[in-house]
Amino acid sequence: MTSVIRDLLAGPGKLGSRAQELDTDTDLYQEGLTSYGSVGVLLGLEDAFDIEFPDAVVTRRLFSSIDNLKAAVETALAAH
Amino acid sequence: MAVLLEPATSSLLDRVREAAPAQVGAHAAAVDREARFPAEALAWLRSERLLGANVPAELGGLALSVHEIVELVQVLAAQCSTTAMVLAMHCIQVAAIAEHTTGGYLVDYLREVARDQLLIASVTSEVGVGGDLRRSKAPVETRGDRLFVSKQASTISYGRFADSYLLTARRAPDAEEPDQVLVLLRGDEVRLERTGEWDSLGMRGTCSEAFRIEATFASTAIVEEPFALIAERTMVPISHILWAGCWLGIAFEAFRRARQYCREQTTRGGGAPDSSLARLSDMSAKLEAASALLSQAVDSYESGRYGQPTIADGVRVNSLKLIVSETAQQVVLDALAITGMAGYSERSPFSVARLLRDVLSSSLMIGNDRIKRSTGVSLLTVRNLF
Repeated sequence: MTSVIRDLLAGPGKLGSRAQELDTDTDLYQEGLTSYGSVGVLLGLEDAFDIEFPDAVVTRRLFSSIDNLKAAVETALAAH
Repeated sequence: MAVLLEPATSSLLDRVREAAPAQVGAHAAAVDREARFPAEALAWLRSERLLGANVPAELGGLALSVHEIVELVQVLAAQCSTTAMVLAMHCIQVAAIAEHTTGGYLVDYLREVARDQLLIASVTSEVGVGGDLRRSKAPVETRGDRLFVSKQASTISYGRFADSYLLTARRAPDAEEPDQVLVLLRGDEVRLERTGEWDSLGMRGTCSEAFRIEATFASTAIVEEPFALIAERTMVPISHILWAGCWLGIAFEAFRRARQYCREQTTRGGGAPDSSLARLSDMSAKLEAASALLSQAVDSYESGRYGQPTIADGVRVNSLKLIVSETAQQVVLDALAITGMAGYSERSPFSVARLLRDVLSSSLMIGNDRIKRSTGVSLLTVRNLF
């Protein structure tokens, strides 16, 4: 799952190859993730895992780290 | 507490409403014609302690609610849009500091703002970022035990007339463009070099000229929380709310002039044409809807809803900006259609010429096209907006 997240951060998230080396608790916005980039990552995750994030979890905090993204995907998968 | 405060603030607003035509409105035409800072109006705002409008009471400010500040801005905008916008922008800067600082130098500075009625300008624009609030090129650099920044700002509204500047910059030379901090720079720390003129269609007295701004400062001048949070939780919503107050204030005044014109047609001539009466009705309905949306946004803001905003909250704030700016422009154009040549003239009592020129800024202050694009992108992720 982490590798899917990293690939999405690198591609639609526009972070490039750096995304492969980021610590999983690094703030992604501080690494240059933009709001457009974050939407691309979000849609990519929903598509890849066939999940829907509820509106209430789609806040800035969701993108504050790879760990948080992973946790949100896991929660959404469990609710599936 | 609210019960105790209510009579005091309502008497303040009453006083402002009563004095504004002489203290603010009387100078508006000259401010506009000469594209000069509204010095007389600002002196009066200071005498009423209004530069401390949203400084907390324990720091010596008036601690007005957001609803009250919106009303204040609306009252001023009916007299002089420039003055209203200057106060709105100042209050936005105060909010950004007050909501994201817990103590120390910056809290002391807010005390000075209230005591000495200091005016804070915003330095978020920058050449080369395409109007994107959330990116900066200029970094904060370390120079010995001090910090340094040099930024080419595409506009600093009332830059030559401010006592201090709230500036966005990259956190450090190796930080990414969206990794920004917000820094308060005092006038005596700053070197300003004017690099562009301001001779604009409207909002002429804001003197929003281009500057290179350089400053050496202490690390205590950096607002604690990252700018990303300050923007999302405070600066963007409060900006859209207070700007909306300004534009609606302009539109209310256009409505009053159009209504008065129709009344005179009715009492002196053969009556106002049906088309004008139908337009008045349209204008009133549009203003009612836009005001309700603004009031709802203020409620959301005051309830702390933007403390951890969802993408849907961001969409709603953007919608407020879009609806109010477009409505205000339509209403002023409707007023022009009703008043005809009298409205088109700069001199007649029914003139809406300056109101129209000023209100057109509403679709540019953060371009509506940019906002629509970013709202559209956000909507791809929001499921249950309605």
